[in-house]
Formats: sequence, C-alpha cells, structure tokens
Amino acid sequence: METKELNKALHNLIQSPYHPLYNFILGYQYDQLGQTTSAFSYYLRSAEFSIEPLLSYESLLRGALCIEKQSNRIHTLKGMLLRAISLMPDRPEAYFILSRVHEYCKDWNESYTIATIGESKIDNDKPRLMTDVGYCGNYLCTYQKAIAGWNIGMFDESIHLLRQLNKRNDIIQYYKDPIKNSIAGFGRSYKTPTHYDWSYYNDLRFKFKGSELVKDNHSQCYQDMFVLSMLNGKRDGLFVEVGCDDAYFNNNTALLEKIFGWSGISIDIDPVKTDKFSKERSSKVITADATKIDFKTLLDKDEYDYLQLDCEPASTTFEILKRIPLERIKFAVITFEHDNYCDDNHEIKKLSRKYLQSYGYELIVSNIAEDNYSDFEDWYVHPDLVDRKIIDKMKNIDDTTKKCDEYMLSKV
Amino acid sequence: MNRNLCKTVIENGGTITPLIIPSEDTKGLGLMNPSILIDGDRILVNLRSINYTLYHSEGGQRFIQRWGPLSYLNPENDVKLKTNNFICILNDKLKIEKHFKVDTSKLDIDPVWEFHGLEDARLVKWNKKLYLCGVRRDVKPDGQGRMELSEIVINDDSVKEVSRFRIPDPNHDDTAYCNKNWVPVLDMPYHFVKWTNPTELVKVDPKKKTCKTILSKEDRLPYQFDFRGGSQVINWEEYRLSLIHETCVFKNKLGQKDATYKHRFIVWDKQWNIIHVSEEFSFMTAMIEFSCGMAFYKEDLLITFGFQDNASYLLRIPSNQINQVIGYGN
Repeated sequence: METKELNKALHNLIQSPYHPLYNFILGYQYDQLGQTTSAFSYYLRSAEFSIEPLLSYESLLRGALCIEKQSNRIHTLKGMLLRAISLMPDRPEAYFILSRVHEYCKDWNESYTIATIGESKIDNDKPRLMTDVGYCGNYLCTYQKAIAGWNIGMFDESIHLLRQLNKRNDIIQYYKDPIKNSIAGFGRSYKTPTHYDWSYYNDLRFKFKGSELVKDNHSQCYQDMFVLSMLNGKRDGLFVEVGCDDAYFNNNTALLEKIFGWSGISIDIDPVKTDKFSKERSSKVITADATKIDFKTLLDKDEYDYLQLDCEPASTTFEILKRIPLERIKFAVITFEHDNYCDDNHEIKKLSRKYLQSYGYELIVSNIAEDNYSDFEDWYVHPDLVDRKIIDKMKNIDDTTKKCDEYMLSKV
Repeated sequence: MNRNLCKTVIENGGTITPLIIPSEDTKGLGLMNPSILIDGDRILVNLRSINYTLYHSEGGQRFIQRWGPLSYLNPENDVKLKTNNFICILNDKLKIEKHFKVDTSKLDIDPVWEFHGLEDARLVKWNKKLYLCGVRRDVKPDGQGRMELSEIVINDDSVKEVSRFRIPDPNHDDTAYCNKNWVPVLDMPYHFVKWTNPTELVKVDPKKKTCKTILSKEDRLPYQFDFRGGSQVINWEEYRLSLIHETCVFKNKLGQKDATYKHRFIVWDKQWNIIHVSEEFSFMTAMIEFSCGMAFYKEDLLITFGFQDNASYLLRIPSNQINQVIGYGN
C-alpha cells in the first residue's frame, strides 16, 4: 500500500522530525493515498513548526482540505481556514475555500463576503503554492461570489459575473458546466415578467387599433403586444403556440384570445399545464412532445397569424421549428426563443435566423431580453402578411440586447 | 530521554514500515494503536480503525482550535467515537498482504454509550485460540469500561469474532469506572498484567467468567507517573519484557486539556520482580504515541505503535541492537 515516495518522506522525517517541510511532504504523501487523517497530523505539525508563513499557510489549507474530505467537521474546517487567512491575508486561496465551505453550509452572506474579499486579493505576482489546493485560477472567488450572490438577491450582479466567467477561456472543465448550468438555471428563474399596463399607453412604440382597450397583458416580455402591433390590432386571428406553459401567467396568446377574439392551437408537454389551460381557456390545447408532432397534419391551413416557439432547451425549439412545414404555411409573426444568453456558441440564434430568413421571414427585433443581459428571443414577420409601414416603425435589429419594455415603449 | 527511538534504531540498521490499508475501507480515517503477534508462520497485526481525527497542536501550539490543543474531531452531527478492528496478515518483508475487518456482528448489541467498539486491542494466542483483548465501553449507559476477551477466527476471506467475555473486576469492585490497558502475558494463558508498578497479575477464566488477582507486589518503584500497559508481555531471554507508557496530562493557559505520552521498556524476572526500567523515550517525537504490540521475529524485535492516534507503524529493531535499545542485558 505504501509507496516509495511515502517511505522516503517518512525516513526524511525521522531524521529531522521537526523539519516543517519534511512534515508537509509526508502529509502530502499520505494525502495522495487518501489517508486524510494521517496526512492531517503531519500538515498540522508542519504548520506549527514552520517559521515561514507561506508554508504554514499551505499546511493549514491542506489540513483543512483533509478535514473537508472527512465531512461534518465544519467548525474545525472554518477555524483552520480563518487561521490561514490571518497568516496571509493577502492571498486568495483560503478565502475561496472558506467561501465554498460557507456555500456548503448555505451561509450565503458569509460566502459572498468572503469571496468578495478574496476577489480583491488576486495578484499574479504572488509566489505559487507548492501543491494544488483546488485553487485553479483567479476566477474562483468571482465564481463563489456569483453563486453566493444569487442566493442573497444580487441577481443582476450574479448573472453578469457568470456571463463574464463564461467568456473566459482559462476556466477548467470542472467549473465550466456549473457556470453554464447556473447561467441557464438562474436565467430561467430570473425571467420575471415585464408586464404592460394602461399607464404605459402613451409610450407605446406603435399604438395599434384597440390598444386603448388593453389594460394589462400576460406575456413575459411583451410578445402579445408585439404581435398585435405588427398586425395592427387584428381581430379573430389564428395562432399556433408551441410551449404554451400556463394559461395566463407569462402566456403570449391569452390577451389575443380574450380581448381580440383570437383562437388557435396551444401545445405543451406538461399535462398539469395543459389540464389547467383546457379549463381556463377556450382555444384548443394539446398535451404532447412537440418534437414528435406531425405538424403537416396538425396545421391544415396555409396561413396563420402567429407562431410562438418556446421550449427547453433552445436546441429543441429549433428542432421543432424545422418540423413545421414552412414551405407550405406562412406565419405573419413568429417569436422564437433561442436562449442565446446561455448558449456558448450562440449557435441556435445563428442557425434559426438563417433558417427563417431562408423561408422569407424578416427579422424585426433581435436579442430581446427581460434585462440588459439575457437575450433570449428574436421576433420575425413574414413581409407578405405584414404592413411595410409597421415593419419600418418596429424594426430594430442591431447587435445590442434589447430590454423588452424599453423596446416596446419607444425607448430603444 | 531518547525523543526519537525510530531514528536511533534506523541509524543502527533497523527499519520502519507504515501500516496502511486502503482508504476505501476506512474513509481515509485514522489507523492507530496497532498490535503485532507472531502466530507460527504468520505475522498478524490488529489495526484499530477510528471515525475521528485527533487534532493535536505541537511545537509552539499556534494553531490550537476552539476545543484546545488536543481534541477529537468526530463528525459534528455524531458525537460517537467508533472503533473497528482490522486484522492484517503481513509478509516476511513486513508489508500488509491481506486485511480483514473483524466481523463482530454475531455478538454486537446496540451501543448504549458514545465510545463504540473494542478499543486498543492487543493480539494474543492462548490455548490455540486467537484473541483480541481490549476495553469496551459501550454496554453500560455511564460508559463503564471493562476489559474484554474477544475470540476471533481467521478464515480465508474473513475474520469473525466468535465469542466475547467481559472480564469482571478482580476485586469485585463494580464501581471501578474503567479497567483498561491490561496487557496479556503471551506464555501464560489468560493472565494479564493489570498494573505494572507495583506489578499486579490477574488470571481470568472465560468458562467460569471469573477474574482473580494471583500476584500483587507491594513495593512501588519511585517514578513520577504510573506505568500504564502498552505492549503484550513477551519472553526475552530469561526475562519477561513489556513496553509501557506514562501519561502526563496537563492544561494550557486557557485551562484546556493537553497531554504527552512517554514510553519505557520494563524487564521482569520470572518471579515478576521488575529488574529494569529503561530510560523514557518517544518513538517519533510526537506527544501522543501509543504502543499495543511487541514481538520477536527472526531474532529481531518488532514494535507496533500509533502516531498521534492518526497513523500506525511497525519498527524493527535488529537483534544486535535490542540490548542497547532496552538498556539491559548482554
């Protein structure tokens, strides 16, 4: 079981048992074998015997990591990390590990604060530690800050930091997925509705017919108001809603149906949602996996007024789009969710634009978001079915992310 | 005082071997207080496996933690200190070839105190039966400790405990809180040295469930600390030899508990008169070290000891060094 390296380290230590580095090395050899308790003893001796703060610091960190692996020794773990910080308060590693420990304990304020301090200690000129203590890059305190920050309500900062991290090319694989998943997960829960109400009437980008009747809307990001704008308040229109979710909350067709007399087909994979929908709405609703629906049969008309595509993930939404017979059917308005904010390669946005434009669709609004970061949809029209004057009034396809309410209320 | 016996021994041709079993079997937690026994052609070692980590600050003690310089880091959601024992079979190079967790399930009852399992067990073979003898404290709600004789059987693929005998106090003193560190006399079946200074010898009868003091010396040698049992008592030339420990418990300036252990070889004649007490020593300079085993193997002396309750080692003292190390004999 023991290795040559361990034996050598043991013999060195026996020759000089108070030599801090020999204690450290023997601890490290035990550590490599997963013998955390044995390792701990020697790390602690190393910390005690060393007169060099950096070696004591690293010894305390490694000892703390041994304790962390043993689980449920939180007080000791925190105590050792705090002592490490007190030894070398200008190094970031101990802050990072301590922030992670607080995260594990769901002590979010502590985790956030410690990470914030750690983030301020980054200095590439500091001497490197001898061993890997899990601090693989100066982005780690920022990562901790983002995760903890989210949990204390620093939503904007958290998403912003995660996106900044996501753009870096020095992130190791271990953290890549959590960063992506956090962006996606936080982003989804972050989509707080941005609702219209009559007090905004005077600011509407385009006052479509009947807009004065709209007291409030239902869409998450003004999609219903956009559809009505592009079709100048059309009555008795026809919609296809893929991924309808709730009957009213954040729903894109409820306003069309209730105030403007539209009807259509709504589809969702979740039977709980569709059951509620069928009880509360008059339009047809189907419980189905949209990736398996035969749209050629289901959609028997050649023109529809609105197509909503909003499933998870965006790649699925795109697959569904490709199943719809666009060569036969024209949709006056399409809102397509590409979730570009959490798509590393920005592939779906690019692919969907190319695909829809190949069928003659014109991009009217690019990079719609509910905030200034999370571009998640593009909105299109078919120019054969929409008034050119309205298109010109509504069009904004620059590369910026557009906060939906600012766009619809004439601010962008 | 020799603060580094291992260094002395190694510099004079001895060897030291770490005693490690894979962390998968122990969760990487401590292996301590090993006890060695030569059983015919077999070299056996019992390793005590524990669920805690001893936190012991040494040196300047700059990094004591909230419970002081010496504390047991058990899981914070589980205050129990649990012991399991692993029987290891060593090859002639003194490396562990096989190890088996002692299966005690046949005789276990639900523990009623916080220290679980048989602690600091010494290996002994009497009347062709292999035993672990250590202290158990989990059968009385107040943690009363009594020595137990646990018979084990080593199979090809397992080690099982087949009988268990809780040894009564020889003076029928049921108020005695903790009998521990009685050390078996290898060539005298069912005999233990209960106390070393002055020497008290007891004999147990597993069948009759009795324990009697059969020898009790009166004169105490003038040493500051008690001689507490360590290794088994083994034969050495015309003498009996054992290794004991002295415990100095003290408090730091914050009133927190601390301790240091020192060790000595004890030599008796066949009439149990102590004829030699060695200079005190430590094995590898740590304040907390503990030995449960000693045996002769191919004329060399083997000692097994634990370091800080967290690691275990086997020290081989070459035959030509034994007298010098013990400080007695020719």
